[in-house]
Amino acid sequence: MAGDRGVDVNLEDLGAVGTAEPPAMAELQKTRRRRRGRRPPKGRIAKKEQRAGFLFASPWLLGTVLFVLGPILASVLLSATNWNLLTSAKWVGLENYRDMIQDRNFYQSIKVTLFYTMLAVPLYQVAGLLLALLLNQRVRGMYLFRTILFLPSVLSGVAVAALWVSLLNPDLGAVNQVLRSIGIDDPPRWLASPSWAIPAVVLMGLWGVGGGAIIYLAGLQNIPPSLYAAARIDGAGTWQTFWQITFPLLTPTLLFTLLIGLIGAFQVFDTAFVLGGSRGGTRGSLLFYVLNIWNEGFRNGRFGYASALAWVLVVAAAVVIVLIFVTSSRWVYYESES
Amino acid sequence: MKHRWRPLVFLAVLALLAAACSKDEGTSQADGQSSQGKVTLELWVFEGEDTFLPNLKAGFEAEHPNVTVNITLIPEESYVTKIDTALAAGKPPDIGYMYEPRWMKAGKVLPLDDVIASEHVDTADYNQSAFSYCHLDGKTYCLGSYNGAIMLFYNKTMFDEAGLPYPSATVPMTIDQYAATAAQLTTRSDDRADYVWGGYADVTTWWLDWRIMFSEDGRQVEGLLNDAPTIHLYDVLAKMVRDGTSPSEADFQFFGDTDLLVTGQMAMNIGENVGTPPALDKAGVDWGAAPVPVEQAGDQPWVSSWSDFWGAFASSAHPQEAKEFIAYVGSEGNRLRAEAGNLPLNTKVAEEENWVGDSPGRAEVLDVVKLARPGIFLPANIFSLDSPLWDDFSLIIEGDLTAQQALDDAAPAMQESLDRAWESWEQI
Repeated sequence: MAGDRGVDVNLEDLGAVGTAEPPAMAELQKTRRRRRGRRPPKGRIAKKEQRAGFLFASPWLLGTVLFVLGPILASVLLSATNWNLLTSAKWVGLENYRDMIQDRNFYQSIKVTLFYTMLAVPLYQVAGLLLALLLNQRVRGMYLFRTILFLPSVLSGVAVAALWVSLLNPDLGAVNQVLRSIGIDDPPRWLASPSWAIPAVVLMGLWGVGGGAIIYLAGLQNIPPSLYAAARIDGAGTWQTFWQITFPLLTPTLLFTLLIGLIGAFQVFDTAFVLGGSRGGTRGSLLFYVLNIWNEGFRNGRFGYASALAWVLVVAAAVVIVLIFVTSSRWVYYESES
Repeated sequence: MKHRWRPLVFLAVLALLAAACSKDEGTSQADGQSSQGKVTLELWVFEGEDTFLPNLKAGFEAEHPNVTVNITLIPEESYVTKIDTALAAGKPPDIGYMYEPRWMKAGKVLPLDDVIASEHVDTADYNQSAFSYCHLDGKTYCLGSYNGAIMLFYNKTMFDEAGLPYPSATVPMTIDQYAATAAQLTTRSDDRADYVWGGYADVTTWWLDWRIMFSEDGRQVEGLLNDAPTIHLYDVLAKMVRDGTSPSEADFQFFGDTDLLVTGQMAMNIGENVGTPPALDKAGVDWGAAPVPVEQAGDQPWVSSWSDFWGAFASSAHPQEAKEFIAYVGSEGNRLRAEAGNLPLNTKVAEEENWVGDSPGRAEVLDVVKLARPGIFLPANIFSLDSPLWDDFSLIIEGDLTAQQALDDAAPAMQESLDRAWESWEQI
């Protein structure tokens, strides 16, 4: 027996089972379609409830339309204009997008952002996972360790960056003083060096890796202990247990942190601004893409061009994210799939 | 029946919303027309003018009993953004600092030529380097009260001890003479606290004539920034840092906010005239002032200058009173500046008010300021153009690049930024 909102149908009455749709089944589908297509008559109370619902939701809806959808749509239009805030916007079509081809800051900002992304995202993934594995051990005082390691990630990015500016000072900073004391006479000039600036920022980011570790830790603690027990009975070692149980069951968490990490890497602004100023550090070594957008809009007064740059970022980020989602079915394992 | 009201109510709400969101540009009066009755002028100014502003307000209100001046203090770093936003919203103050020439170009600022004539504001003895900033397309858009200028300050005692003549207050040294003098005045020590640096070397955009790197029309960088005299200039400046005759960035970071000329750890320093002389006087330093060194022999002296460029926004509801206020700043405001101890923009007022007093150093400051001449016009803030130069100067000091390589590299990057700035300017 199968029931569908009061329509009881005996499967045995549906005729032959095969690839062709049986006549009784077709009739049932029609009934369903008719039912779905016909709205129940609305009474006055239902209408009032509907109105009240919209009324209660209206502040949020209005806010979304005015402050989210409106600006998003406006930026699409702006990207096809020249606008400097002072005079009315002038329609230029795709000219802003064509201008990017000639713009060396555009290429530099892509180079910086990609270099950072390729360095930072995998490193933070691995470091976060390793830290989470450590924090998942049954050790006395673990709650304290977890708190200590998570603390840096709740600090303001600007404050942390300002702290690291002095730590990484090439002449007086603590990092180079330590390096000199262990015999490295000519340590990197870090933020002052075009080739070391991005590695320095990546190194700084490790400070906040506790945030990612907490997410991995939640993932680790969701893995049923019975699986580990079964693996132990089967004679699996630590390494095998990690690769055969822990890692596959953590892949949904990895997918999440990968996406968050990528989006974060595409949006680096405050750290770059504090470390390298609005000009983007020595020889543009810290000219991240979003910093370049900010420069074009708020320093150069080219809001149309800045909007076009923003839309290129949105499309590029969307493509990367869609690609990851499409390929995720090959490497992300959901327990329910078993 | 009640449903009939709904469209009306809807339209009324829409109208209210539209009125709330629309630009209020229709209230401004025609130029030259004075408001009737009580008038409130809104001023947006920087913080930190605790002596001058109350006197200015009181003085103007006494002369114009129907006008109340309402002062709003805005942090300097967010001033331009706030004005830009207010202009976009159609609600700027009546009066503000004209820190962006694009506001003038866009017609957002009132020309002051009529009120300068009618109020007899004498601008002939203004510092012409600073005042040139107020001119655009033959019109004057702002007036100022104080005289900010960059010059070379030096410690006379150290010159005496080294047996060197004082730099002239009217004829600048060449960069080579300056570097040689700095080398003679330097006293080396392994301990930073005991080191005395003879001079100061840095990127030149903030203290030297832009003509050494930009064409007279402000459109060309390539070929000028990287010409032989400028390459030599940067070579000498970088060598001063490398040789320890000028403090390095690390030295400045080590000492923090300390003014090394004031503490007797520098013999010469390039700095501004607003804060340095009082600090030197307070520290009891016997000091002098001279124009900054020039690129090569025969170059005219250069005095980078600025003021508090007061202007009236075109959307002011009281344009006549606003312009009268600025005329007051441009004339009486200069006297109030002198009374507050600042050098007025008008050097004649400085003399009349005996700003120099019995200070030989102040007399030299006034001599230097009188050398100021108009600068060239650039369509963007210099600091949005010169970042490649700052980067490359560090690399010359480090020895990673020669001055020739560095300037050859910086020139096209700056040219690209400049071209873009002109393009944006012409679109206004």
